[in-house]
Amino acid sequence: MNNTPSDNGLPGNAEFQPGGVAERWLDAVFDGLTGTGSGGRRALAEIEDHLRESVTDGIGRGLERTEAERDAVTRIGPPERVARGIRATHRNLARPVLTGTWLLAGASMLALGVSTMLTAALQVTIDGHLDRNVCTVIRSPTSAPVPCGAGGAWHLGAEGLALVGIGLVVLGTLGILRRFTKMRAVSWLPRRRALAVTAVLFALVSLYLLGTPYTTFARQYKSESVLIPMGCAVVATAAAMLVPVWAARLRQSRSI
Amino acid sequence: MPSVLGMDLRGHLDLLLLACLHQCGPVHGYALIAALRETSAGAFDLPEGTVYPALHRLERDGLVSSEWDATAPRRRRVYALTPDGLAAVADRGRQWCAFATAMQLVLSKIHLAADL
Repeated sequence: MNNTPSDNGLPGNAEFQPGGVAERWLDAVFDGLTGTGSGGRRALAEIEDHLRESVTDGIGRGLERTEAERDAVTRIGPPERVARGIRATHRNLARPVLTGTWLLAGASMLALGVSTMLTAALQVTIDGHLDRNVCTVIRSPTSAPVPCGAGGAWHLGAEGLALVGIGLVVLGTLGILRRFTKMRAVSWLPRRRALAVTAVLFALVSLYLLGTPYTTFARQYKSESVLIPMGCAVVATAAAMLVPVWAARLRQSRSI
Repeated sequence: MPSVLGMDLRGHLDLLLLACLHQCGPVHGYALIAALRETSAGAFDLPEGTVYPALHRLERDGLVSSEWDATAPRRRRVYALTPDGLAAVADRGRQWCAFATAMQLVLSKIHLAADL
């Protein structure tokens, strides 16, 4: 351990004046560390230790205790800036939110797909026990009603299977791209190099989900404008691409 | 991000801290700041509060490690380079030296033109 300015025969680190400049400064930093967890707690302990050494050195240079505390807090910087730096390191909500959205989207598609497949399976299973005249689908006002039957169920099952597949792809991609830092902390997604994958994935999913009602029920919604679901798809795609880019740039701008 | 000598330190503080740790060995934050100030002949007299978030980030990225030093009169957090940090400081140091050399070559010509 190298010699430090405090290792020159002076007594141990000075205690702060109760309610003095240093304690008020530390209180202000503490107020700004909400959500930083153990990392913020450790940082506060280190900074307090730093402040004590700085005050001790100031006293060693001949300053009065109050002046030494004032000099120490001036040298360390405004408490808001220090707290902001610690928050930037230990609290970043954008990426956990994106990762959570990713996970939720995959799980939702998986659940929806399984539910759709079960519905289709039930429809195939019990369809034979129903009076076919009870379950009908009117295709147009002039045509005769046709019974709904197993044919529609297979289509529904295929759609459910597709949703299950997409959900598994989304969750599987999350599992493959997930990383841990060398200190075994969770490295939230999207990482910079996964932004393209994230954007394309969410874009394809959004296009599929938002376009499905129109393509599936085309005859029933024929009078509806195609612009509404397509417009929603464009907005969702743009958001899916812009949000990870913004998050990455925000993180980059906060790095020192 | 503080500016020093009119230059923004954004992106350079990490390399400065890694280089100081490489030079000083395991030290705590206060000593690291003092070493940086002394090594730079006072040019890098940074707001001391900027160093701890940077050290924590370097630790999160696996370039430094830290532990509480129980031998000191008060509990201190001592930082040291990891093997990855050693490789990083060597790599980034080479890049910076090449960049500085190129800048010097360009700026020296401008200075020469101004003299003319």
